[in-house]
Amino acid sequence: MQRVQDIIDSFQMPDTVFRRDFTVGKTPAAMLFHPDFTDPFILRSVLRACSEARKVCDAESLLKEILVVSEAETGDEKDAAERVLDGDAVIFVEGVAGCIAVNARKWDKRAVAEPPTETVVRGPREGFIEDFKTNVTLVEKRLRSKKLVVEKLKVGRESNTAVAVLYLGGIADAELVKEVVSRIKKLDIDAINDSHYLVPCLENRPNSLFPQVGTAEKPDAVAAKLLEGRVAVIVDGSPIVLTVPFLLIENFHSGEDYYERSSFATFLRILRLIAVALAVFLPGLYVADLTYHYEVVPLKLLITILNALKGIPLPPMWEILFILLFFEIIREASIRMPKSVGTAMSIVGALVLGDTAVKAGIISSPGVMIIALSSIALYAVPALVGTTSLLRILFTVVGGLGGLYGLIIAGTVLVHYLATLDSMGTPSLAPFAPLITDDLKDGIVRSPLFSLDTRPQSIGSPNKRRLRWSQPKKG
Amino acid sequence: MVSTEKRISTSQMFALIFILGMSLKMMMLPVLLLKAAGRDSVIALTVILLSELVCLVAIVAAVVLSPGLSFPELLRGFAGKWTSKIVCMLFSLFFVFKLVLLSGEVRIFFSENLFDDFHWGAYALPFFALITVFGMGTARALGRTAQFLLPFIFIATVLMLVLIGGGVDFTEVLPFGEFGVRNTLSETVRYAMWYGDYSALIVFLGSVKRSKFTVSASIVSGAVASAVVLFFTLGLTASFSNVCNVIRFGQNVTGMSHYALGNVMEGRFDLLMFCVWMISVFVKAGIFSYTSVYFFRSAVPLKAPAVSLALGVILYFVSMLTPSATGLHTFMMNVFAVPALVLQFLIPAFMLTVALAGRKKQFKRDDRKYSVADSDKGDGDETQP
Repeated sequence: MQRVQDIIDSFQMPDTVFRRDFTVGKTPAAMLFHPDFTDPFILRSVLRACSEARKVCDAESLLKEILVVSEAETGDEKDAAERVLDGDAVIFVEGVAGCIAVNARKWDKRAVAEPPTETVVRGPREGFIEDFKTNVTLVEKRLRSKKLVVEKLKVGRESNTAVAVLYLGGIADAELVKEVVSRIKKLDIDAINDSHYLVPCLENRPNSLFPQVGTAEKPDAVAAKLLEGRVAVIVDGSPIVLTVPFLLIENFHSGEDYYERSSFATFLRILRLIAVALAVFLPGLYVADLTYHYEVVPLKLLITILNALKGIPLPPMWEILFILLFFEIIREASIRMPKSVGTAMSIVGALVLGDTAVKAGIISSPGVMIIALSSIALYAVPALVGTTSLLRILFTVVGGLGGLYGLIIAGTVLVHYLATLDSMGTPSLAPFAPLITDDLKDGIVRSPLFSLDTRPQSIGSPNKRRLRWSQPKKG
Repeated sequence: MVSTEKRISTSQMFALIFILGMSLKMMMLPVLLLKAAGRDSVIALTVILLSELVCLVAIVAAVVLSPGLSFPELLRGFAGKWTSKIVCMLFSLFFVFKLVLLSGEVRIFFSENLFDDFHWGAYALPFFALITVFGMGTARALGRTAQFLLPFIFIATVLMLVLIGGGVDFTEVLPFGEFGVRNTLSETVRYAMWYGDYSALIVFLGSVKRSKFTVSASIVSGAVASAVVLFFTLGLTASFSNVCNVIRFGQNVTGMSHYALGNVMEGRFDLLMFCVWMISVFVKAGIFSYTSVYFFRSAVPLKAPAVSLALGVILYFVSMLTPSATGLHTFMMNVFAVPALVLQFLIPAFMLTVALAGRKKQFKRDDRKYSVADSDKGDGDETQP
């Protein structure tokens, strides 16, 4: 069959794909497959089923025979090479137009486990993995609804990576879905290795310091977002699922908030806000106060700090920047290091070096304490660590150069910048600016679940109501 | 995709009015009036606040009655292209001078209260960077910024009010009338550049999403802002009326809060509160910057980043050329008092006039459209057998 040979020849290295010739009844047929992507047991079963089919007049009747042993569908010859690279076995029968693509995929994947960045005490522990089908199934399992749409696309000229756009029809805004799909389709790239490759094309300001696309590693979180009218994007090979639109306040939410009592969840959210404020502003405020505004600090505390600063060769701003640099190096090194060495290095870095530097009078203990507190606070909101780390450095410099004056101006400009930011048309500062009172129920405060009866207005879902429940009468 | 709302909401209008009504008047104006009119400065400020509220009513009426078109668009339809351009340039210039005055107030506040050594040459850079950034923005972004920051400003203001309120003997405000009504009013006119800030709301004409609360919320916001200003003036007058000469020229209302709010032993909490409150002044500077750029671009169609950058750079050099706060104040009082007074009443009146004219025009157009539609319908009826 010349057409099979043509497909083989279209590969740079024809040996990449294997060809098995067999007969269906007396008609010659051939199967093309990639040995690394396919399961030999499935291939054998398919071949047996094909050989047992005595008479074949068209692809449809052969398909029926194959369907007994595996998933299969008829396809176009033009897509045959692509299907082979996807792990399908493609069958051609002489005299029969088209081909049959049999799902014979098999590759190693890790087990579904709790993701390291979204660990919970209460709540589901399932996390996404790198396998596309598993990830889609994990979401489908949670939303067994006829409304769930999984729109599959291929991205990457060379990688042909499978991308799925998930949404709930009638709940997600049709315009939003159209925009997401069109932006992904417009991406002409050779390959995408992870879902983060799609982030810039889903953001209106890809150079911004602030994320405009949400990420989730847990199917329960993605399902909840889909139910709010958002759109999710799953990329083959990535355990991170993207969600849009994404609001700034979502950084302060955790999946666990919805499995806790509302009062405690609200407390945790306030705590995260305070933590981020401390992480970003504390070093800058410390530097500003010690450089320009001594009078703001209570006298006794000021005396204690000044005693500790005695003999320190660096001015407050440079001292704090030095400790920050020191901390960032330790952090980066401990992430990249082998785990066995990492713990030891952390002890050496944090305790030995830090303690020695303080004792040697290079840095002060209040400075170390400020950075330690700020760094711990940084991790209260893991999704914003990158952004807050940079802002912390910026505010330290601004506090050192401009004192409270600089900090206030920088803060005002930052808020103005955030006010101009949006995620797929949804203002990033919603529900606070613009103020959407209904959405405040799940902003900083997490109201009891039964009072979250409407979907967030900021997302613009055409289906507003999500809950109808009347409280049982007392007594 | 969610359709992006380009207009500002009633709550954003509330925040903008509160910020415009309060910030600049709480800095140097009470001190200058106290030095000029003694205890009668309270009367002078009350007159100012009442006249501002009258202007606000006219502005809100214009906003509510406008047919959804911007001021330059309405003006073009009302007075022609070139008149519109000239008026826009004039308004742009007016707000540039307001910005110059505001920068001087900021300079005094920080040099007198927070820094021993405040080199304006260096410290002006972030201020004018802020002006540039806000100038490039949109009305919607301004509204959102004001709305987001309002709770912080409000909390700082309330804390200052509560903490100062307990420390001031308000009976010291009396007696009034020592300075004379005529003198008091002439002093009011001299400081015209310091008030009339609601006129900046002109840029929001046609961009406000009207609701049944728009009028009431706007008036309440203006009234609350005026009450806050009056409270601080009363506090300042009560504290320093007998010894107003001891207040240094640069000292402002923070001088009053000084003894009431904090001391060195406990830390100057008042300074932190005032710094948070200062956000309102920076937002106001942003509003003026946006207004100035907006009117300039209505007259000369250039790109916003270029105009805002030019404005920032020019203002920086202008502020460098300003020798001192005294010089700036003298200039504003002697040269700009009358034009500012005229403009602060003219702008609301102008807004209301063009809004009404535009509304009338729209009604006429609608009437014509309906009458054409009716006649079409009538024709149709006639052709029917």
